[in-house]
Amino acid sequence: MSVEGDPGAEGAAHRPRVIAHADMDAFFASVEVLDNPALRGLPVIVGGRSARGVVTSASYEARKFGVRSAMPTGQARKLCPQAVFVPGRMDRYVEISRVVRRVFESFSPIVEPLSLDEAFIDLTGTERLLGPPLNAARDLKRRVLEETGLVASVGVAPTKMAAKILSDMSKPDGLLAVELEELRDFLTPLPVERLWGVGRVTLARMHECGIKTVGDLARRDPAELKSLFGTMGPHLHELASGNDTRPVIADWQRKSYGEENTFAQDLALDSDEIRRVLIAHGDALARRLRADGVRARTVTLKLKLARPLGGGRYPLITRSFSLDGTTNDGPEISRVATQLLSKVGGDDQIRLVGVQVHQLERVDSAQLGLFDTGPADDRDRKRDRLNRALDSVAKKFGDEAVTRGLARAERAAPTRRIK
Amino acid sequence: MGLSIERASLLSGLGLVQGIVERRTTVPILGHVLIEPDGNALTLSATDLEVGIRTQVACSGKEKSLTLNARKLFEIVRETEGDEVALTSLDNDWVELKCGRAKFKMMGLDPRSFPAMPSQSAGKDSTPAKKQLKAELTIPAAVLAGMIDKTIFAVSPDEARYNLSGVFVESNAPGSARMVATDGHRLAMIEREIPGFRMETGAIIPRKGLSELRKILDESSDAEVRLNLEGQLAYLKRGTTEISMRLVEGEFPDYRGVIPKQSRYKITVKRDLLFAAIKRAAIFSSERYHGVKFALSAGTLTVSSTSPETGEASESLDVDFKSEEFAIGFNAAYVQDALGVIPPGNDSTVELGLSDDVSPGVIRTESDQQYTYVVMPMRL
Repeated sequence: MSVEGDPGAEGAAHRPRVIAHADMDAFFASVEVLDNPALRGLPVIVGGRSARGVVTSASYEARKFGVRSAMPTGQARKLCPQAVFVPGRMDRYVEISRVVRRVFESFSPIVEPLSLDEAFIDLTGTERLLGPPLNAARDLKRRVLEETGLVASVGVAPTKMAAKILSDMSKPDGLLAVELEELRDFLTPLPVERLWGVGRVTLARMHECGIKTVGDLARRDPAELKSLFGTMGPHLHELASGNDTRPVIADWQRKSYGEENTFAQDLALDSDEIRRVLIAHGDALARRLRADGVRARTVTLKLKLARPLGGGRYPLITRSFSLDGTTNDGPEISRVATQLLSKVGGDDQIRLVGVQVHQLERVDSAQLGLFDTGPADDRDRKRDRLNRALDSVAKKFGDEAVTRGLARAERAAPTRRIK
Repeated sequence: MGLSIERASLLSGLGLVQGIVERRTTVPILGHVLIEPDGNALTLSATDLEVGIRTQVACSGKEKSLTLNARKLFEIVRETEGDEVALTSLDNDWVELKCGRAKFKMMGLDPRSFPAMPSQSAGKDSTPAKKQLKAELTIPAAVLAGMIDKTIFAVSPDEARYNLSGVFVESNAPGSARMVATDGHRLAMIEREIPGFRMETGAIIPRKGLSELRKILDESSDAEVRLNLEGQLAYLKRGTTEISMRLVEGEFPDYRGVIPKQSRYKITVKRDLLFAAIKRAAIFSSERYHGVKFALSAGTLTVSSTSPETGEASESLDVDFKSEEFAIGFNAAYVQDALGVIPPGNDSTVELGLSDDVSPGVIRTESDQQYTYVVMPMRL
């Protein structure tokens, strides 16, 4: 099995790629309505209740009042006092997400999940099996509805970025597609902030330079953009010109796994809370590694300090460590991450903490070692058995059914899967 | 001034040093061969600082010492057609070379900058508590060649695992020499009766040096050679060729503990049939892992492989197996390596010792009871 394969580049020379981006409409809120039909037609807001709690999902009825994801709950309450606020049930969302993922995977083996409720699906070369892309996308929407009772919006395009923009524009319950010949025309009038990588800071600079639309950017000279925006400049120019060759990377082709979360309240570097979060991240990563049948060799700790650099940016610190062997064990990943944390000096407050693992190795065909039979490895085997038991409990009763006593990541800011 | 050398003997001498000169070296002189004429013979020397070789070639004429790029010189001597090669030094370490009607000019380096052969480094022994190594293995060339051939392939290619990067030599009992090699996944061990041989402490001979040493051993010769193991060096002289190498520092792992004392099942199969069956089954094993499944059921051993993307293969062999069915995965290459050094033939049989799918398998052969091969399974 080729893991290094680049599924996008190979076909690119011969024919345009067909990439679908499917995104569940108001996912968490819709699940709440699904499970409690009395909420149907009402403004429903899912979000944490803590002081700095934010809206994680709002039904379209609530969005009419201006409520948006990531908005502080207090503000949402002001905008829409009659809304039904629910705390959110991650286990249930994960459960439904799995069903959705299985539907996606029945359309293509190359599915790249971005989060619980959205994914890229590489439909390149599926015409003979699934028919024209637009038909396949229509079937995809129908199958998701049949299997979950929930609605997905889908964008279909020759590039990842365009597909994602399309699914977003089509919401709710939409389906939009562009073909390669229409791609430039489609991108040109879009506001430039639609491009990935154009955040607040870059957008302000762009406006100063008279760049308002994607077309404005595409018309500029890449060299000039480089002097204005650094290495990011030419990259954005490529995206604006419709040149986005990034392939859809399925889980089984991935090179790393990561979990991170931004805290509701900044935490001290040496606080117990950070260590608890690392334990939760370690467990979450290990569970994903085991589910995909891989083991990792390198652990990276990522910290974002709370001292702003201006323009919405914060200093980022990363520290890595490579194990002698490979692991798929939560406590081991957390242990390494905690050790890395203890080596970071200073008394900074921390805004975000993340853990990544890389250097993956497939487990299913692992060669056993002659000298792995010492007492240490007896412990490994016991840990393996324990993890398998935990995985089967989680599969049956949800990820939160059994957690470590110390692993209390804050509910208000659910762990976000990255990469 | 100038030397005349028979092309064929120069070619074979240069052939011996090729394995030692560094292919990609940052130190140019290590890519050179030192040529030192002395009377009716010249000595060719090459070293990578860990291994060194010196060999003599007959010549006539007179010339000072010189160095030349070993690979270029070898190519020239191989490609030219005359019977004699004429070497003449020019100014500034340049050398002219004539053979047949071809003429070459090569730049040499100052022979005085050529490094010395590996030698005992005085005062380097930081572990006086450790027993000093001093042993002499006097052994027929063919026997030593066989011991090397049956173990060296199991040496770890991973240079980071330096204590596995050579063949371990020791004396398990007086009058007996043992060689062991392992890469952590499989292990090859061979033992031979060598009357009078004693060795207080074992030594790890580096793979590169040992494989060069192997090249000067004639596998059909009963003539004895003497392998000296002393301090940090191994040394062997054969005819006018001598090779020396720095031993691997480090502790060889406790290999005895990983050789199963006994196996639950013992199956005897014809070596040739098993070898061919694995070769065919391996066609569909993945390039990366080479996994092949061995499934045992009453009277049958089925060797198979599956690749979800390319296909599958399976082949059955008749065996004397009566117990409950079970299956075990192996890296096909690891099993083939062992079968490859067991002599082929209609009567050649091997005994597979297996216990369960996570315990090591053992391969032995009727024809050489002193040879043991242990291989860890794969999770398939």
